[in-house]
Amino acid sequence: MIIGFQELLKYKSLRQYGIFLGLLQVITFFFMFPTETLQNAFSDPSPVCFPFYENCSAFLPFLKQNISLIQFLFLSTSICATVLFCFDRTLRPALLFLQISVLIKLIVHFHSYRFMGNYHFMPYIVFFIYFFIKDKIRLIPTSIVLFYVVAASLKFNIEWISGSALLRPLPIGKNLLYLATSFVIFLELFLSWGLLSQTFWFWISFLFFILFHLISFLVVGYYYMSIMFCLLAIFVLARYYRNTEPFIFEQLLQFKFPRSFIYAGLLALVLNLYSFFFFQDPAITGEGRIFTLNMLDAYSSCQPQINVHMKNATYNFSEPRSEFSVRAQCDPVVYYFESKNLCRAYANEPGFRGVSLQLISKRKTDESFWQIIDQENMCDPKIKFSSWLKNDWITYVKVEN
Amino acid sequence: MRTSLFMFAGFVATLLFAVPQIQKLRAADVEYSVERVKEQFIFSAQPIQIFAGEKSTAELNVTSTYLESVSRDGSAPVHNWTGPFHVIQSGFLINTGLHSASKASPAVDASGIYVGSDSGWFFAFDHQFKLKWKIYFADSNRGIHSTAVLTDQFVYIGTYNGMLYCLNKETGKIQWSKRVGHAIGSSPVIYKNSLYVGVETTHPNGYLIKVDAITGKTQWHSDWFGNQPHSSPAIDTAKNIIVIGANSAFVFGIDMITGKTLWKFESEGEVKSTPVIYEDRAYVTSWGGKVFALDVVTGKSAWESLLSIRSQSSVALDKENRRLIVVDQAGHTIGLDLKSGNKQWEQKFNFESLLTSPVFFKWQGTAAFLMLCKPKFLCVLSSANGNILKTIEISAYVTSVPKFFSGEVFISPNYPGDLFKLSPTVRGANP
Repeated sequence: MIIGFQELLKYKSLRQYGIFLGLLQVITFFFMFPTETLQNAFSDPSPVCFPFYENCSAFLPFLKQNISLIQFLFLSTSICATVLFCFDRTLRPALLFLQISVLIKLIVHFHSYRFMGNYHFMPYIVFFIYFFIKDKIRLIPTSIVLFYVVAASLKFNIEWISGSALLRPLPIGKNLLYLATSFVIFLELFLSWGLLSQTFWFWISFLFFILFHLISFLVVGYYYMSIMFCLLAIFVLARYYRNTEPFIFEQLLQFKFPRSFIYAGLLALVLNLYSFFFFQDPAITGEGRIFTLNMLDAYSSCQPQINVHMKNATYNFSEPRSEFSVRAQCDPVVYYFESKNLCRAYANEPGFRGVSLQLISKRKTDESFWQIIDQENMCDPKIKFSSWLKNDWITYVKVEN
Repeated sequence: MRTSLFMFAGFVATLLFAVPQIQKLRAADVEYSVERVKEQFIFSAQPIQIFAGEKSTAELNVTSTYLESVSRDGSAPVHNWTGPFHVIQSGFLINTGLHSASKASPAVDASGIYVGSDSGWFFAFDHQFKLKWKIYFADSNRGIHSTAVLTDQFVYIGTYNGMLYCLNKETGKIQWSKRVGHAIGSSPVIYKNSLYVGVETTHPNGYLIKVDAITGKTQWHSDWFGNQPHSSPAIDTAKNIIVIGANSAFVFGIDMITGKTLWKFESEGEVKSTPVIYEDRAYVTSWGGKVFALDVVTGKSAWESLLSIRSQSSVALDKENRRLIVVDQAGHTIGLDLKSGNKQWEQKFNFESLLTSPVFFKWQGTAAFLMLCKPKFLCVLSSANGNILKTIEISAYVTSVPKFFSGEVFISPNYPGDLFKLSPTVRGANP
């Protein structure tokens, strides 16, 4: 199903953008669909699901048995979509293949929390607009700029400027690092709007983003860079085909806001404000993460402590789950599921008393840890992780030095 | 024009935010590189308080320490055995051979026997070898090789995944825990409510950490050792100096109050043995095939004596006869004059890798020591000449150190041996 198909017929830039979206899926295959990655995700002895789909583990054996089929379907539909988007006559089958490809990715993605990451979140939004929202020609570029602006809003802290939020240190001196991280704030918060400009600022902005993503390769690897290059292609295509619709920045400066911009802006604002006002520090508490970008918001440290209490024995688990991405390793969701899995595993063992969970976390630059979870019995069915609302069993209390 | 103005205003706004932050960073002169922050995490790691009940601030009463005392001199109390030895098996297989490092020794006091396993289990038994409780450190996949220190209420233990635990002695519940590094093979020591233990990191490197034994909070950490410390700290309480060895071939003298390195002595080989402090000197063996007598205050060598091969066993002291008993990995056992280091006698036992340490005691009124003399035999040896006074057959090889308590000896052997004790009576001395 496609909403706004006429728009795709009207704009060659949008049709050709489909090639880049297909290519994005092909790149995703090499990042997310290697056999080992899928096997690890589907064979996890202690599966961690997304909180809004707690029973994902029931479906894991089926997925595990069909890894080759999943790989084949995902890669073939992604390649077919990429190729078919090259021809105007095959637009409908191209869209169908792309939708199937995205659907397969969604199925795989939401069966393991290991796949949590912004580099998946951003393409999903773009795909959603591409398939189901009208005024795509304006909304897709606007959304990409809003991604950058929201990402910049997470960087107004010493943690970002100090460079400690970087996954891998850049091979530059301390002073140059501070300048570079400060420039990224300017780039994402202000220069990003240049992508929507009709003036020379477009090319300045675009070239800086290309440079930024090339350098980001050193810090976060090839996938994020490749994804962003694919997403940014819409700007070049729109310029090339002389579509003026996306380039609204001069209008915005005259306080003339297109309706689609208002909707997208309000949505981004509300989701992020909701998250930050109701969930204190989502990067640490894990609450409300689903509403907002987490990109480079926190490189946290944590110490989990899970104890399975038997009549005369205790089983202690204290190692952070290092198989998760750095930004998910300290996510309370991970330890919530681990505790619940232990509750299920030991429920019928004689002498089983319960599972306790403690979690302290901190941003790398925090001086103190925060007590995030301190629960005597995680087996209590009342303890549930809500993705949407505040969880009263999750705390945010400073651990005194 | 408007776009350019917007960009300019944005640039100025960014500067207004960023410049004070950069100034702050430069003023603090903090290196926030990832590695540095990792280290900060390790050093500043907070203890997780699990059962934070009301705690007494009175001085902890230590009831069992590896090598008997904070100075590790094996001297207190002196055991005088006269009767036969009966081997009493516990029926509990402690070690499983998952890792080749020396095994943890039992910690024993009136309340029971507490011992870690290379499988990650830590056990508490009463004196009848009835299991009181056990705890499994699931993430310590190479187990526990550090010997626990006991107080009236608590058991302190380090595990091979870098965690330090304070357990309730009666229930086994975790009182506090904290990650201090990547591994702990060193045995902790407690003095005046502070716990000291060697911590390993995977660089490889390591340091000594001082922790409040009641709250678990870090009090200081020493400088880097240059390699991992498998050695355990020994304390000269009169001089406020801690001595510890490391795999960097150095022995370190560390100020007990500040944690600063006072001296370091290069020993020509990895120092895995625990220094034994007695009368202002620290006696320590090394993989360089030597035993050294170091001045505790200056770190200067008073004497050194050559061994036939490397050693990682701690020395035993015969204070009465002012003699040091040293063994190397090939089983050469020598008696040395405490003051001069001159060799008094030598015995040769055949071992491929002897890792346990001799323990001094009294056998029928004479100075003797207990040690492994064949792979599955413990021997009582005369301190005067090294002659075998008695041989006791046991079920398995031993790399831990025998623990004397109230007229009995407790031993945790390698796989496939059960935890056992030597007792003067068939049913055990501590019903």
